[in-house]
Amino acid sequence: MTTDRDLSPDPGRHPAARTPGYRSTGARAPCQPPLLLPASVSELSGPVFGESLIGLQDHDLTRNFGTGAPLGNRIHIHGRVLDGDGKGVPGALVEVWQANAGGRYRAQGDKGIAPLDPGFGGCGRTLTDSSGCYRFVTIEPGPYPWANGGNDWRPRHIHFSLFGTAFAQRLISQMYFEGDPLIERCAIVQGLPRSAVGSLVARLDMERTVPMTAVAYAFDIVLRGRHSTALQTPQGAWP
Amino acid sequence: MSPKPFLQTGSQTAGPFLHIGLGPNHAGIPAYGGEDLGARLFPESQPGKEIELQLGVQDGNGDSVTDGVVEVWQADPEGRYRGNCGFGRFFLDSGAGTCRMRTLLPGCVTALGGAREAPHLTLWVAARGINVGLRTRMYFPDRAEENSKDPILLAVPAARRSTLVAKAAGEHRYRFDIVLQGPSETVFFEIGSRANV
Repeated sequence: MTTDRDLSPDPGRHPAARTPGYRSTGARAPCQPPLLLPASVSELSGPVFGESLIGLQDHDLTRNFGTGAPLGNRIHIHGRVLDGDGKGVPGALVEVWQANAGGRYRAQGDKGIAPLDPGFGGCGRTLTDSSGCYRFVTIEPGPYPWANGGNDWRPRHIHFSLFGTAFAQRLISQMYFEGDPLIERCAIVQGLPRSAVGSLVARLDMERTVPMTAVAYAFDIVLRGRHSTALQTPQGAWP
Repeated sequence: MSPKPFLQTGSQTAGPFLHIGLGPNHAGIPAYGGEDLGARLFPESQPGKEIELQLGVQDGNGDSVTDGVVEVWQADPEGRYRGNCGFGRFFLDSGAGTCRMRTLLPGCVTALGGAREAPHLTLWVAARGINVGLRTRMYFPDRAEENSKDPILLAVPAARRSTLVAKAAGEHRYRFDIVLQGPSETVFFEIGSRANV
C-alpha cells in the first residue's frame, strides 16, 4: 500500500452537494463543507470481489430476468474502467440498473404510466477483465417524466455503480446516450460543471454493433486515483 | 502537446430506485442466485465479538431517509483489512427509515504514519438528492480512551466529534444516526490531495 496515491476528487468534474435545480438536494445536501483528510488505510484498502461471485448471465439484462425477450432496442455497452493515470482497473465490480424501454422501473415506488415488461428486470453486474474492460447487453431505457417542481424529463440513462481497488474510489454515476436532446435540459445533468457533462455521454460505436441484432455504445469510466509522479499520456481526456 | 490527466467521470445521484440495482433481492427482484452483495460482512466461521448496529439517516427537515443505502467497510477483529470480507451494504427500511446490521467488532487499525486508529466503521451513503456519495466514519462510545487518540477524530473540530460516535443501545448493541443537514449535521470527509492536506 503506497502513500503517494492521490485519491482526491478532480476539481470541476463533480456536482456540488446542493444544486438548486434538483429539488431533492434541498433537504439532503450537507451545509458544511467536507473535512479534508489524507487517505488512510480505511480509504486505500477496499473489498475484492472474486469472479466466482458473478453468474454467467449477470451482465445480460435481456436474459437475466423473467421469461421471454424484453421489448425495446437491444444495445451492447462496452468500455474500460480506468484510473486517473489512464491505467485499466482489472477486477472492478460494475453494477447497473435502469428503466425498461417505456421508462418504467421495476420498483415499488415507480408509479410511471408505462407498463412493466415481464421479460425485463433492470439490473446487471460484471467484473472488468485484466485490461479493465467491461461489457453489458441490455435494451435502451426510455426517458420519463419526474416530479421536480416543473416539467422535468430524465434523458435515457443507465445508473452505474463502481468499485475500484480502494474504497475511496467508490463512484455512482449515470450514463447518457449521445444525441439525446433531453440531456441539456435535465436538472440532474446540469448540476455538473459544463465541461464535465461529456464524460457521462456514451458514444455510438458502429464498429462494435452486431449486424441485424444490436447497436453498440462505448462508455469509459475514470475513477479517482493517480500517482503524483506518474508520467501522463496525452490522450484520453474527455471533452 | 502537454500531457493531460485522465479526468474523473462525474458523480451523479443514485436516484430513488437504487435498490433495484444494489439490492435487487431485497427489492423483490429475484437476481444473482438470491443473494445480494454485502448482506453479510464476515463468514460464520470468523471469530470475534458480535455486535448489532441500527443505522438511521435523517435529512435537514428531520425526516428519515427511507430510500437510501449505507455501505460499510471495516477491519476484522484483528484490525486487518481483508479484501474478501468486511464489506456490508444496507438499505434504509422504508418503514422506520433505519436498517439493522450485524457484524463483528473491528480491531484497531494502524494508520500509515504508525498511529493507532480507534475501532471504527468507514461508511458511504448514497440516495436520491445526494449528488456525490457521502463519506463518514462511526466510532464506538465505549472506546473513549482510544477515541481520544484517534488521528482522524482529533482532526475533527471538537464541537462536532460526537456526530461520529454511536450511542450504546444495550449489550453489544449500538445506534448511529447520520444527519445529512442541520445543527447536528454529521461530519463528512473528503480525501485531500497531498498538496492541500
